[in-house]
Amino acid sequence: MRFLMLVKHGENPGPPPKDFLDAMAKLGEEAAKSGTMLQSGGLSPIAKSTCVRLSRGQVTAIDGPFSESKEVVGGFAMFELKSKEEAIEGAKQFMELHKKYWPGWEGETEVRQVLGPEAFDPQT
Amino acid sequence: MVLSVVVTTTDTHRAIDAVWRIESARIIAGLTRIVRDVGLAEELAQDALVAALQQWPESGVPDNPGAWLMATAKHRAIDHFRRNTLLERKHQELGRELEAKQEMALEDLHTAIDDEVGDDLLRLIFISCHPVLSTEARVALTLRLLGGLTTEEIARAFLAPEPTIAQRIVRAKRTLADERVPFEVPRGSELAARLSSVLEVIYLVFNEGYSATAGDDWMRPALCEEALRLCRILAELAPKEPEVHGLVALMEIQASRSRARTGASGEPILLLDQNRALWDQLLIRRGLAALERAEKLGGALGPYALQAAITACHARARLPQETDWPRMVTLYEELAQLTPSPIVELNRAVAVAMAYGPAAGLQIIDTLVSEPSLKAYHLLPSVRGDFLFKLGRLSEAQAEFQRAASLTRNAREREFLLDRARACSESQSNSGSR
Repeated sequence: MRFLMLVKHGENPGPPPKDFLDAMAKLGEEAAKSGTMLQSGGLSPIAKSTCVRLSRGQVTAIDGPFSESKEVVGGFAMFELKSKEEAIEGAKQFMELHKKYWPGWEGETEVRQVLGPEAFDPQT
Repeated sequence: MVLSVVVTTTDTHRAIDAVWRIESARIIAGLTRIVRDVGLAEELAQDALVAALQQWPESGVPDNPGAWLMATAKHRAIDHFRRNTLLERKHQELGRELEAKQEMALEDLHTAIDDEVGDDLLRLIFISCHPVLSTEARVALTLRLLGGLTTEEIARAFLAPEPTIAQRIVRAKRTLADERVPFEVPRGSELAARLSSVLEVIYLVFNEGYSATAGDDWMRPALCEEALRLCRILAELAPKEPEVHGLVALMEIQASRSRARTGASGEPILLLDQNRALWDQLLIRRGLAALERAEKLGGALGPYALQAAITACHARARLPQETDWPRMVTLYEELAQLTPSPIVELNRAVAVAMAYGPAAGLQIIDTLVSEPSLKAYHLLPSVRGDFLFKLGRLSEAQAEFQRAASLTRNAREREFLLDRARACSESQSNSGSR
């Protein structure tokens, strides 16, 4: 099963502490060594982003920052895992890492299954 | 209220399953280095798992469940050492030197077990795939120790009775202990042979899953993912081995087609007829990147990397007609030199026919007709029939398709081949009546 992890936080979390960056680097290495992470990436700030929107039959492109967004997606990772529990466990560890190395950081990891044929298979 | 407790317990058990799958291989690997016995290491790790199953439903899952399991297993290992030391003291007179060693071993245990685990994992892979074990035993032990699969899951995946698999694993562990197989990463001239044993096991697991059809038990396709995961781990642990990246590339690219290779009713769809929009581009990209890693390490490509390079020719083509067949011919020539086999020749003939026309392909395939190992292989007459058909030699083609149909054990394929045979006779009678 494939899972997309979306890491969300307030718009300006400030620069991450060095300890956190080190721990992240180590975690990334471990994730690669676990053979389950297919892809990952950090995203540019909202201020540098553009939102292309369809509303009332009108397609418009609006440059960031967007005043209405309280939480933004700062990064993502794609995993191939055996169960949702495994995904949740991974996300918990990721949040524990923030708790330990980035005091005061608040945010969330959204765990979303990428639907494949097995998602429609009653056996699984 | 009762119901909610039950639900919580089940949730905890599912969380424990997940933690076990994530952590078990590393825990077993770390313990094996200390106790020098894979079987004992697995038992100790299992003890820790049982402790978690008893405690976590009440105490909740700890913040760092992996560390908790490791610490618990470590204590069990120390208890085991102590017990054994006491036993030995009782039963025989121990020299002071040996006693001191035992004490030191206990001291070391605390620090050693917390060391870098990567090397241990690599050692565990090598010991699970040790040539002293039968191929079947290597596969079962690898899935059990490194994949964290239960005996039941392995049995389901290989369509074998559970006791058979359980016994296979028990015997494998005993053999490793009896033969005193060292827990180490082989070096020098031994490394190549041992590595090829590991890769063989991984690719076998992959193919076991890949050859299953869509209607099969979900555990069989899961074997593909398991094999890929293992090989990706191996690629990180042994990054300088081109064949490891070669096998990763081969499997990533093959796996990228899994959604396209069967039709709605489970019928196989040949590569050139597949809907390429269904190919998994993320896996293709990963596969091509792994192939590039293999190539960048330099030297001539090994058999896995060559096969990966061949599949990459398909993966890079957005349409079948964009396939770089001449390159594929070259790659098959290299593969034939490295691992000569009638099957490779047959594949080379197909590539040659695609690149330079059916007559050139037929020339190669005609040299294989008398090959004893291909006597009952349906793809030989099937491919030969295809070349003859394209050359307009219809009655010969018809005979080949019929022969192929009589050789295949797959009902769907037989139907397909008989259809092709009928098409030959129809075009013959059409051209005759004209």
